[in-house]
Amino acid sequence: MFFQVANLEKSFGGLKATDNVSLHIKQGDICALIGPNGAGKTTLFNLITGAIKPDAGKVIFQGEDITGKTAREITRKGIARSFQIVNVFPMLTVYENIMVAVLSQKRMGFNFFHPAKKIAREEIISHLVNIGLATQADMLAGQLSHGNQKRLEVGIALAMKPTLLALDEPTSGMSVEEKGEILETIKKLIKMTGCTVLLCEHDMNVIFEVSDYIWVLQNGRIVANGTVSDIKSNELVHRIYLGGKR
Amino acid sequence: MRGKRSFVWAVGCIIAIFLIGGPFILPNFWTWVVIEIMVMSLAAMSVNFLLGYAGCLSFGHSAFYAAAAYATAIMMTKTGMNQYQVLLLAPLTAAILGAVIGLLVSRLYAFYYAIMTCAFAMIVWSIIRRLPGLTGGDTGIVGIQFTGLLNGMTNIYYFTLAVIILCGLILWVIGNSPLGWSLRAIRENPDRSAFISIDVIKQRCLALVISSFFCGVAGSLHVVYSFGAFPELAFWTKSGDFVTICILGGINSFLGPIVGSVALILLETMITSVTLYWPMVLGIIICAVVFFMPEGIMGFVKKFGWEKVNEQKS
Ligand SMILES: Nc1ncnc2c1ncn2[C@@H]1O[C@H](COP(=O)(O)OP(=O)(O)OP(=O)(O)O)[C@@H](O)[C@H]1O
Ligand SMILES: [Mg+2]
Repeated sequence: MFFQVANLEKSFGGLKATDNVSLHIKQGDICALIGPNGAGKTTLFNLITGAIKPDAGKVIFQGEDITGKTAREITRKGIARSFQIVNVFPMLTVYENIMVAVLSQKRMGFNFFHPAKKIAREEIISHLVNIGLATQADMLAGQLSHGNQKRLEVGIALAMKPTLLALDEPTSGMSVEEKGEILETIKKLIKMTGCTVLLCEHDMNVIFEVSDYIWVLQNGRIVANGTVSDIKSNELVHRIYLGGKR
Repeated sequence: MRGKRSFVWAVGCIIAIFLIGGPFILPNFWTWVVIEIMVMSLAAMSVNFLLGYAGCLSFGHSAFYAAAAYATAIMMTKTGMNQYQVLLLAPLTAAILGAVIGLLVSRLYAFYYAIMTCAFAMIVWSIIRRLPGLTGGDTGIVGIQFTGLLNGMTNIYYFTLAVIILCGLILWVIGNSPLGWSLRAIRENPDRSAFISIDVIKQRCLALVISSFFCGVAGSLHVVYSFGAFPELAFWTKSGDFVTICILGGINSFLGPIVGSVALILLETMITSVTLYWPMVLGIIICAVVFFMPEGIMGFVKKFGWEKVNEQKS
């Protein structure tokens, strides 16, 4: 299996934020993780990407046990993520935000004599074009609109050339039009790079449109999983998550 | 735009002429002052390398400055080593000390980083004072004479100038390299840096090692122009001077520490000749700068320089 989580556990004080979660992702799939607010989606992302360490269980990526490894190591192995709450480099320009990721991806972090701004210009600019921020290249990231900061968020993750891309609510806090646009961008980029995706998203229409497989989380547990049609017809999912809405 | 560029060129040329002509243009007293300014600039640049790029505020650089100064003084007096070998080896002592301290503080941020580096400087200071056999205790090591290219004011002046320019260029290159940009990423957002596979702790440690090396070069030069090494060099207020200079000059500017050193030492030299209340005057000046020029002198020049030029153009 390309990616697999087995019996993962994480508690915060008395709260079991991740409760015996097992899931798997097939290579090339767009896999969705859904669930109501506070279900533990971000916590699961944090466990997978090394932001926090699990109490028990295993995370296996391309046959290798990556449980408890640091975020840096896991990113190096090919899992890049974007954040639900914008987490960019605010006082660097958009170009520089992508640049630091590209330089690190090229393992040049300890190169101390090349002029950084002359390295991989085409690659960085093509990343900027891909995420639709080429015209804002010289703006400080902190001065971008929220929607564009979320784009940059995804751009930084993609600059790491991941094999598994974990997107934690890439459209949160966006207007309906912005949402549509960024989703088009993301869909295009997924096709272009061919990376496997773990996507967390609240908009069910989006989920049903793009997903190959869906995992449903509630109170830290996986309560359902299946293809789009499985989930659409799952009574339990309707009751707990869709609230009867069709 | 063109107006600004030619203005900068003109200022640059005047400064260059003054620096090159130095000892032949200036009276002896002021030549020594310029040497002091140059050495201080390098120390402040090393502090600002850490502060401006990596965002690490160190109050421990007096330790590196003193370590290299004492290494120079001890090697000059107690071993028969060639003076140039001494000047190459002494900054390495500072860098090694930087690596040791770096291993211990590189996980810390902000206030904790400043306090811990300060604490290490205090340890170094007390060690220096407790080892009179090696360091001369409270009196330090005095009367060190260099020869050849390092003998006499004019030679010392040009040697210092050459070393400072070389070190400045190296720091500039490192600052604009991928390493320099990784450090900026860490300064901006250490958490996110880990998610683009930057080794945050190693990089911050390396930044301290580089910084301590160049601070060590300054410390060695201190011995060349003052003919001695003294325990005050290790006292944490010396680190405070470096940081003050960075803030005065502007931490977000490469030239900030140089401008800050010029401003501070000129002010100090001029004010101490008229009043004994130099520390008080300095305090007032720092308050004023922080208040009216939060980005330091260079930040102020850049901001208003730019706006003025743009107004003229339109
Ligand atoms: N660091 C933490 N310390 C304590 N509790 C936490 C921490 N992180 C998350 N939690 C708790 O764990 C539960 C799951 O939170 P999580 O952020 O994973 O939910 P989510 O599914 O991402 O929700 P949302 O849709 O609002 O983003 C919540 O009850 C939250 O309060
Ligand atoms: Mg969340």
